Amino acid sequence: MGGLRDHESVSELVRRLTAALPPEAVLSRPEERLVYACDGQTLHPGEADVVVLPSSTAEVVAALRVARDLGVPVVPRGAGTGLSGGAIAAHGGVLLGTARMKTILAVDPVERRARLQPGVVNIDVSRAAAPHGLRFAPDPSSQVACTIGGNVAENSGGPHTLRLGVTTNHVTGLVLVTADAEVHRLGECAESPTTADDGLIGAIVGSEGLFGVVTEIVVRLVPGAEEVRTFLASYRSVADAARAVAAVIAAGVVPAAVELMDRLAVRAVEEHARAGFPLDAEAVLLVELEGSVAEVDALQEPVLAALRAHAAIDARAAEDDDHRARMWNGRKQALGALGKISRGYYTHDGVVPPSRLAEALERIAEIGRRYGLRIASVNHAGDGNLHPLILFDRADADELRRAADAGREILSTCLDLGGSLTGEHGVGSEKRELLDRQFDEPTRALFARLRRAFDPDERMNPGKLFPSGSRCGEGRVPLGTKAARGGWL
Amino acid sequence: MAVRPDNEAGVVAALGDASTPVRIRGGGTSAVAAPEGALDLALDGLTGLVEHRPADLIARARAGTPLHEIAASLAPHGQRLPVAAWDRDARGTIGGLFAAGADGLRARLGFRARDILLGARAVLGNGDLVTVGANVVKSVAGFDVPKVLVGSRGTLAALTEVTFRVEAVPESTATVGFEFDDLDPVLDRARAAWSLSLAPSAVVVVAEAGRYRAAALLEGPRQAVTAAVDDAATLGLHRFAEDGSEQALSDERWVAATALDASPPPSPLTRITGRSGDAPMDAHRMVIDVARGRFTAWVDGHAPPPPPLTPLFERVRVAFDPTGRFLAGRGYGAR
Repeated sequence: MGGLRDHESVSELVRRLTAALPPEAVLSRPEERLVYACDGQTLHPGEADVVVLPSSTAEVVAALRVARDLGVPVVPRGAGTGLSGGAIAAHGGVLLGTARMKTILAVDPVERRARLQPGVVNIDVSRAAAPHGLRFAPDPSSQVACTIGGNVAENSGGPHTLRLGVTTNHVTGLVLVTADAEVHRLGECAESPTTADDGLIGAIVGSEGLFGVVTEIVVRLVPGAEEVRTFLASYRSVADAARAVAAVIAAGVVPAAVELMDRLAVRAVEEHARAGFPLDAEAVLLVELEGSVAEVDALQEPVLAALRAHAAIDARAAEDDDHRARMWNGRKQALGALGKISRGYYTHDGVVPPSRLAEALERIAEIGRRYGLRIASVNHAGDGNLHPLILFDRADADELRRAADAGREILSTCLDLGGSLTGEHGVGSEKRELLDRQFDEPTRALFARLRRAFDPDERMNPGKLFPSGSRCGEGRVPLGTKAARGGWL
Repeated sequence: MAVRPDNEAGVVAALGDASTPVRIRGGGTSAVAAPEGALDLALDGLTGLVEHRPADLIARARAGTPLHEIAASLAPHGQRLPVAAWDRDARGTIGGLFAAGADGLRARLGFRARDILLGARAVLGNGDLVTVGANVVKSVAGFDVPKVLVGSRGTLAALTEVTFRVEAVPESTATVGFEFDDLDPVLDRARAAWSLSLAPSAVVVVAEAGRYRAAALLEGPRQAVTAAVDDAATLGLHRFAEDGSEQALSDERWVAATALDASPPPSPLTRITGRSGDAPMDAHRMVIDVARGRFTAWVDGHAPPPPPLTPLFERVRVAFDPTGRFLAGRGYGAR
């Protein structure tokens, strides 16, 4: 399934889309399409033949009818902040952006639900819910830019998901338009939901745009916490910090967030944002408790005791709200900060069991030494979700190659330790060649049949998730030479 | 024919002939009878906890492991299942809990059956043994097949092993409630309880014989529960008094409410479910799960036929079971 590329077919595609959609919804000039050639992961760029920006489910249906009739690939895209190369048109065709579908359709404070179009920005859901004392729990670090539709496609997480769950734990209804331009209303988006809807919704969330275009979403809202208290602890080794994380969980506490940053990441953040992290430590932990005042009071001493049990240099509560806000701001800007001290970086997203965290971080450091690469470490440590950032010079082809090899070795290490290739960024185009390391042949065959249940012609987001060669005609996308600068995780 | 394998290879072997219709069951707490000519495949011979890693908040067990055995294995580590299923006649199994999606009313952090099933091994209709999900609390690699299996009632695959999230047993527990003969004020108090600063693990309204009772389950550190009970009192919700003494709504009462939610009604009544806003006013018995936004009620008359399954779901079902052998005369999600 190659893109169209040939001039006449592209002209026909653009002509039909322009007839079916408002003129401002179709972008066909090269300079208009250029910004859609990359997402947050720029190692694998790909250019669409045409970009469409529909404003409604009806316009999505109209665009998908044209693509269906011409047999053209369709790539759904939210804000393009994804870090796995999932929202780029690897095989040309139509890139369907949902950014203009940005209406908050309803907020129901009694049932604690919000009904949203997919282009609503993540943080705007919480802003709309705030007057009712409610919020949307998943908080990816890109939350000021990323959209709910993208969160649904990738099953996004964020630092605060250990206690309250990731996107899939909060979605109760969806409208999905499949590749054949059929509209499916599921769960709380349906007039009469069936018992099967919850399962279908579960499959669609995190399907990385391979099952269709989600045009409406109902999410659960959760109450804001009465009390939020943040703790900062510093350690002489990354392994000590990792052992402290396990001690916190073993104490029976599920913090709202447990973040671990190594020395390299902390120094970059401090230069960039002056967040108030100690500079004399090899690793710092940022631990947040939330709940009722009495609940947080009761958990404070057990948490501090666990943090101090592993040779902590220091462990204490944030000085005040300002200190807390500065630390979180610093943490959420960690990627941007690292982008300032390196000419390129490559972010990974592997998961290990938290009890193997110390071992995993030691092995990642060893991989960095062996490949002669600096690797910064910014981790959602409570759920074992690692974000090693491999720093490299994008002008240095050899270093780029070593960064790619080191990245693969890091992900293999995560799997060897009983973890997963990806905790929240998705497989995308970036990690698809590793899918067979995690799932055996019968399981991948089930995935392929599931994909065809939604999309028999495999036109939705081709070149993602499945290894190349899993279908005839899917060539490997060449490794580009550009590298990400700036971004979030 | 009936088979009850005691290991995974036995399940694979039993399902080797892809043309045989099969009725899969766990502990048999809500199973339907196998039709004539179908293989009756019992999975309650697959028992035992495979691993439990308390610091990783996960456990892995063979699908037929009894729920009470899971509870007994987790308890010495101060942990438990995050949901409280109705363990009818102590025959409930961990695989059955997920296959039925029967997760009861308690969800301390809001995690239900579909939220805690992290990974699974299962045999499909074509005989393939697959390993889906992951053995960690967070993963987005591959499609999220475990969520499709929850509630599929043996119509998609035979579960052989499940990996699930576990949680710490709270230090303290209390139930507060309010009783009245009119639904609306009871529902209002229930919603007020839902907004307590110590988030309740369950908030329900139980209706029976013209009486309505709101109940909220409070769990957490002792001082937090004590403070929340005081907060609840200011909202007009008090610890239930039983036999003249102040005490929590007993475990048995929660189990009874869960049982109503899960069990078939006595004839000629019909069990219906829906969104809590559509709760019927004339039910013989009813449980509104306020935190989930759903009700279950026993009402007069026959249940309306369930909405037909969509062609989309039918295609998904076929991806698991190409020949339809697991349907064995019933529909997906049939109670």
